[in-house]
Amino acid sequence: MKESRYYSRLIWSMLLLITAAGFFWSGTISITGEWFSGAVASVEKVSTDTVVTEEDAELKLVPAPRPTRADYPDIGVSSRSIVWVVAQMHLFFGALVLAVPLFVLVIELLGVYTGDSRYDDMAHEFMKISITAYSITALFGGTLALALFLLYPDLMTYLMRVFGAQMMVYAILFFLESMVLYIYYYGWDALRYGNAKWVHLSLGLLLNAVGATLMVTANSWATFMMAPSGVNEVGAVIGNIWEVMKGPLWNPINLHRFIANIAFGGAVVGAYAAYKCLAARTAEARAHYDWMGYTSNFIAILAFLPLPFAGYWLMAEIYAYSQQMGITAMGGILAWLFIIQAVLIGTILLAGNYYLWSGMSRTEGSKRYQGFIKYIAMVLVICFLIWVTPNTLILTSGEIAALGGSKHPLLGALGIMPAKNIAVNLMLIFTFMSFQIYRRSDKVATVSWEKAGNALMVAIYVVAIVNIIFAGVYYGYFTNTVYKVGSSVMQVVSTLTVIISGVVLDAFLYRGAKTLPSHWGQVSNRAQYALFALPIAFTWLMALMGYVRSSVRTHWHVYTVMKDTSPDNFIPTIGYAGNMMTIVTVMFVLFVLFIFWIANLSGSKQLPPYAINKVPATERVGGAA
Amino acid sequence: MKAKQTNDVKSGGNVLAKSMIFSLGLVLLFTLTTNLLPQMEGEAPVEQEVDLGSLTIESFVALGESLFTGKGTCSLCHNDLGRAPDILGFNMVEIAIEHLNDERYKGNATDAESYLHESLVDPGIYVVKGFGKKGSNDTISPMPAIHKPPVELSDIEINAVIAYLQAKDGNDVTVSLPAKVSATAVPSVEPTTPAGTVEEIITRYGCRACHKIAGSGGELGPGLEQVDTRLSPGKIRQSIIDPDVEITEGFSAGIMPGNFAEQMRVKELEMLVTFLAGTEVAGSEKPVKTSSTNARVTGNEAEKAIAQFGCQACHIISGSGGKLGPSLENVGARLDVDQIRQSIIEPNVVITEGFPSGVMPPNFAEQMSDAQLDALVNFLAEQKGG
Amino acid sequence: MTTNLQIWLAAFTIAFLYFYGLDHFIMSMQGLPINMDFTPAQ
Repeated sequence: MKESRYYSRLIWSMLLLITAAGFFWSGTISITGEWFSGAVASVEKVSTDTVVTEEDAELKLVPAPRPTRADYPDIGVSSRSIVWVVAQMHLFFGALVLAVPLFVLVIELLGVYTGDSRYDDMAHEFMKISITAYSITALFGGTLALALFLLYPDLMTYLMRVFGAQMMVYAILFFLESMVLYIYYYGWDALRYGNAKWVHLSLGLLLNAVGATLMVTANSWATFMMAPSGVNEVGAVIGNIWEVMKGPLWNPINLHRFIANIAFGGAVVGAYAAYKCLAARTAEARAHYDWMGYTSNFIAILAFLPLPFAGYWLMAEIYAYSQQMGITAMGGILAWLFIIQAVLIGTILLAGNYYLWSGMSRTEGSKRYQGFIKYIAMVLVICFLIWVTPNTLILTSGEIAALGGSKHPLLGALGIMPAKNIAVNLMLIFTFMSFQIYRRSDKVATVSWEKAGNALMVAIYVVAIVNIIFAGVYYGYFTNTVYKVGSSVMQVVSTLTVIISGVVLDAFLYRGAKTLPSHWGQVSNRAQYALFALPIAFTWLMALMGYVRSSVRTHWHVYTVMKDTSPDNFIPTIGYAGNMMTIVTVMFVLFVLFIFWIANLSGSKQLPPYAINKVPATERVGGAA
Repeated sequence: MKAKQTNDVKSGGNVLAKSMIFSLGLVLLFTLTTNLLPQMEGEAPVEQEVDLGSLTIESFVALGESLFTGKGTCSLCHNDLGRAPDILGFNMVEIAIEHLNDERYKGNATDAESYLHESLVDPGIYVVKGFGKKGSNDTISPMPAIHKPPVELSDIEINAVIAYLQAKDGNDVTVSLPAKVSATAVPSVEPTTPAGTVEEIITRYGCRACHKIAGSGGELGPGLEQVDTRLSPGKIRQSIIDPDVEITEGFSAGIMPGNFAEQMRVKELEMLVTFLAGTEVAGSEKPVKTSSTNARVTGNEAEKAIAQFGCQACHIISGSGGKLGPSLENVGARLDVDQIRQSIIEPNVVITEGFPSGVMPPNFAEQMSDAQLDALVNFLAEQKGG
Repeated sequence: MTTNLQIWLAAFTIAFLYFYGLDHFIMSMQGLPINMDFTPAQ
């Protein structure tokens, strides 16, 4: 199993590369987009020149519809809750089918480099899951479209008018995605060796490219509704499709969803591996699935660490677009949801850390670091408590009563949270520390500058932590808002510095390092339950943050342009929203179980009747448990 | 927990059940967290219909205050957290004059009122130092123009906010009350057809809120059952048009709205004067027939009671009414059933913030039947806003 | 050769200078002065 560590390192560097590419790509997408819009614009120009006269073009400035409450079909059940559930399910599966091909490509590539067919088989197995998930995504997508057209006809008419031909492009991309996906999956064995494999890998790349394009296209609808662009004050389209798509929030959402998809996919696959590991009947299978679970968790946590920064960018853009919208999210009625977010992220970090600590029992070299764990755990728990408590303490019962009556409750001190910023950044740093210790636990550095390297690492940790606390306390409590926001950038960059310098330094420090023996499968069962906690918390968190993102529009379908006058145009209570999130999460878990079951079923083969007596009963139904 | 376990043959169902229970437990924990936090709904702003007729400066200022924290969402940023100038902490009239004299000021305003108006509809004209958009060096304001989406205050509402800003520190309110002509901006709830009967007129203008007429009504104002014995028709007319010129002994000036004449049609005023001048002691002649204008014709006991006792003279109910008392549109969200009952029976025990005590007649309980009171309380308890 | 103490001193000096520079850079990018003397900046 010595190689597997080498490969997980390879996975690490590839994922870093992918994430970096994601950043880069969301930055440069505007260039390709310009080209795209240019093409579309020229097409439009031709058609207007030839067919439509100037006057007609003037007439085309149709404002957004202003439906009254009576214009919303009433089917007896809350329209919002129907769309809520269906949209969320579509998004969960969409995220899964976009993320899985990404690892599959990486794992397949590893298989090619190592010549180890186990990687190839594992990648193929994951694609099997993705195929079923893809059908379910499409089914929910269709249901969602139907529900929207049925329940929100005016809104959909308007969005169709705004996006027009772009929706056709989306449909075409969807066909392309399906075709590439089926060729990629069913052509796996046909294109397995030699040059054919490279054709197959290119298909995988194409699949991911089409998938990412699909995602950013669909994202533009959501961001248009939050921060419309390319339309005038009353919602009449005045820009080309590119101007409509490239709103201020588009790229932040693209990046945030791209990274989150990786974390989410990793977590779901990790749960699959944990389940297989717990149910494994042989030491070999247990070792294999332990390794798979570790790798998936690795992917999930690694993608998770930069996520707050992408979220920070998104939030900053929201504030820049509309301070009112930003405060509605962070300081208004929705602010409470960030307490829940803290609970969820705390769960994720604690579970991730716990899994890493448990995993140290696999290696013999980990004893050197065992002593740190209790301190890290202590810091994490304290930070977690700081993150969660102060807000609930601020409110007295009288204040709550007062809040209940007013229409726009203000949760004053929640707007900017210096103490919380410190806690969150420290949690991220200490989680990374766990990570780094785990990575180091089976190695002994042999480079000559080991001592200096370690000293530098320790110094970076210490100074970064001091800097974060300083920035939080001084600028958070002694100065005005502008400084609080400004200094939180200092904190974020300090955290990023620790993560990046840690990765880079270790890469050099442990070049040619001596490795100590480690044993896959030698891990407690309890650690596997941490792998269940991750996808559950991720799923719930996605439901939560998606709800926040959507709710900052308050009583607008399309912010400032088209009002929501439906019976559901209010922000529901947190309890109601929480129940909805639980419903969608449980539904998602059930569907995922169904997918796993289907994946196993296709691997099972009933033996012909004449052979039954010759085979022991335990092997009769398929190999995969 | 070492290699030993790996040799065990475990049933898949057991692992499945355990992992499902674990996952479900975790999900329920999250759900519990959400249900433990304070539960409140964020209502979409309701299109408030201003009853121009019954507006007084006080109620106009009160409207401005409710807009400041409510629909206008001003207090979202204008608070003591440093996001925007802390309006509540400043005397805005003095601040306005100060800003007008600042050399950075480039607008056209000449006095505090026009300055405040300008800063509401075009916040970028003068940006207070340190509060501009980041990187704009205080040349661009992060505040949205208040008459445009997403806030969209009407002209009347903007004036109400200005009135509030002027009044909150004891400055004179210089904005003029909206005249009936400008009612196009705000959809008026006034019925377009003139009232047909005297009873309709009395109901529509809520006279019984304060005056006892034909057997029922409040005691805040003098009883009008035998007003003809006290006043000539001309005096009666004057008392409606200009109520504060002559005050009946034992009652105070300034309570009766001075703008009924603007609201009433000449025909209505004449009918009312004739009626009051010629009215007899009509104890048995109960006014049962309620008009179909203000209260919806639903046969609803509560709505009948509202019309009969003229609640809408002072309170907004179901979209229409005066501003002298607090709006009852979402009273169900503020008060529970018992509190609502108490507020009707003993109105002065608990007073809604921002409203004076002693204005609402304390004798409604004596006038109402138990059934009426119950219906009214239940009806109001259901008023939880839009 | 360098002693342990020297290594640690050097490491902390580098880290401190780096973060000090970083803080100044970030705050100046946002047009905000950084007051190390703890005077409340308004």
